[in-house]
Amino acid sequence: MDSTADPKGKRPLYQEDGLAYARAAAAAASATAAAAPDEEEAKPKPKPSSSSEEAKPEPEAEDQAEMPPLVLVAEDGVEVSISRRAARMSHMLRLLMEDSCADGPIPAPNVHSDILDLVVQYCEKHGPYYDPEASERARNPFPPFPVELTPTVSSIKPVTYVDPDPHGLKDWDKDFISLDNSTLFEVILAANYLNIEDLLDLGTTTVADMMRGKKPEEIREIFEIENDYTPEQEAELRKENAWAFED
Amino acid sequence: MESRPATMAKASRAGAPPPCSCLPEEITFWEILVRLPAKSLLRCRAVCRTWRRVTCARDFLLAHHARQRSLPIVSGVPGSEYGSARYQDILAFNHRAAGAELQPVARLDTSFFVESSCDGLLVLSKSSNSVTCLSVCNPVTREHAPLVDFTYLCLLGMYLHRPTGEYRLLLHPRSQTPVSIAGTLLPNSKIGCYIFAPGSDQPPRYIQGPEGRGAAAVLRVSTPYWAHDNLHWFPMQRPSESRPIFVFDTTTESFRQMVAPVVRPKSNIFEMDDTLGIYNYNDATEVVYIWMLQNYEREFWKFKYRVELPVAKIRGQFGRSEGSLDVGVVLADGDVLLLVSHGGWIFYVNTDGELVDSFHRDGQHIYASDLRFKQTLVPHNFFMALEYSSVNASPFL
Repeated sequence: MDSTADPKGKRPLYQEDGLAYARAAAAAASATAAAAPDEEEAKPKPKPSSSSEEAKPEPEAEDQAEMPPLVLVAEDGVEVSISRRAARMSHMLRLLMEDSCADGPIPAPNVHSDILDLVVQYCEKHGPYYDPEASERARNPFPPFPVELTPTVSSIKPVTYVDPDPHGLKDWDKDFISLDNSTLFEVILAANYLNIEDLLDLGTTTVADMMRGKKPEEIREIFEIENDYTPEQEAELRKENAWAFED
Repeated sequence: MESRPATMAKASRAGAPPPCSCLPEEITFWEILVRLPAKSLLRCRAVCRTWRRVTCARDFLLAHHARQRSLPIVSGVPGSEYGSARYQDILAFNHRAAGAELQPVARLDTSFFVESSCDGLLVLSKSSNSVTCLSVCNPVTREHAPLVDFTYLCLLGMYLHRPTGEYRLLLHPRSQTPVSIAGTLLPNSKIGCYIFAPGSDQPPRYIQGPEGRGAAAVLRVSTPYWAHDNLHWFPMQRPSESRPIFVFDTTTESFRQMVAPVVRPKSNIFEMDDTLGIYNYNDATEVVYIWMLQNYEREFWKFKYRVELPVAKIRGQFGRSEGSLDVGVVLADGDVLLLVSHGGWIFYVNTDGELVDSFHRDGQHIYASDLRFKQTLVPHNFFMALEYSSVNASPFL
């Protein structure tokens, strides 16, 4: 297995990623929707692979279906459960599952149960399509992703520009993240604590987008920051980059 | 991780005014502020002293620049019907989830011509009385510095020389007359090129030019594209000739060639993240063909798209219109887009041939250029080092 080890040195969760892709490609190639049976859940199925470039939800999902969900304990003592497949999105929970420390309740001491519910909702929605490799690339477009690929993956996984949102998750994300500031900040903190890259990116990008076009006093309000400039200093600053303060 | 009282979340749910959750600094600065466009970031410096200190630090600004997207530059000039107004607007075409928009970058004096763009820096040229001056500017910080008289040298491109971290200009002599820069006579050669680092006191350094008769002269009129730390030119040649892509390796500072796929004449390359694409617009059939360089090292190209332009819809904006369409292909936010400039408008077409949007600015003619712009607030030494450098003055209006 190590001859095709993950170049980023991440330990694969259940099996070598390359093997999973090979299986997925074989399933896609046979072009029948039933090739990789999904879990028996009321989750929306991914689009049938008419675009054969798209990898199906990894078949290891079948194994995960048999394992019980994880139990997270929020700061208010409320327990929130999360399926193993969704839990993969959290780097922290992934490590716990790998080390087999995830069987008992897992404390999330800084996260209120309402926020935890939201976070779990996000992970359950994205879980079936989650691919640790792809997330890493999307997160760091600079440096660019490599064009040369390891042998197991090159003939199967497309590096070219396929539809970036094959499952219509962008719209769902947009609705999901329309939260009031306080909740949004709490979700960001929870995503940071549980190390859920994609949710952290979604939350922080939303805050950044919200800040565009706002005046410094409005930004201070959002982050509850006190202005420690004297009026003269502030005026000087605004003069320095006057164009940035015009609308 | 500091703990917060449960009452905080409860209060927000109860509809009380939202208290701040006090995001830790590493998130505020390194996940949020680092994503802001330069204009917003400059405003953030006025929020408080800590924010100013952090957002002025070099490591933060380098991370900020790395996060910015490289956007196609659109130029806007006053329409001829608007009399004596003289300026040129530099805009960036920003394609985002919410829709695309043209963001203003800078307004320049028309006597300056934008020659090249590299990492948020623009190289301008200004000609008067048969003397040409090159200058470098950062439209975001409004810094500008004229370079030495470059009348006898043409700019081929600007690049970052990674081993030294210096920005350098690649130049070629305009003609055979002996070239002198600041009193130093340079060794003359038709086939060689010169490298010059703005801000350094070294005179331009001679290097071997690209292979082929008149190759360098041809590169002069072609826009370079960046990929894999190299500059690439795909100059137009006569249909019967084979057409290599000229490559300048910015680390070894030497030229080589790359094979282009067999394409029709009048094809152009464009940047696609860290690789290249080629497109060809057949104006008889109104179809655009797009190839992508799938594997840079092995020079393996793959045909990707065939796009029928919605010409009727485009021309329909103007009633019966004539004139050719100027087609550009760009990669924006992971999507391949076609920007069609026609009649002073820009039309944005996706690879399915659908007209997604059209752009027009009152009183202006806008057109997509070949250049790309990636905002930077990183302070560059040469602005300090060069004489006559200025901030917020000419060429900025």
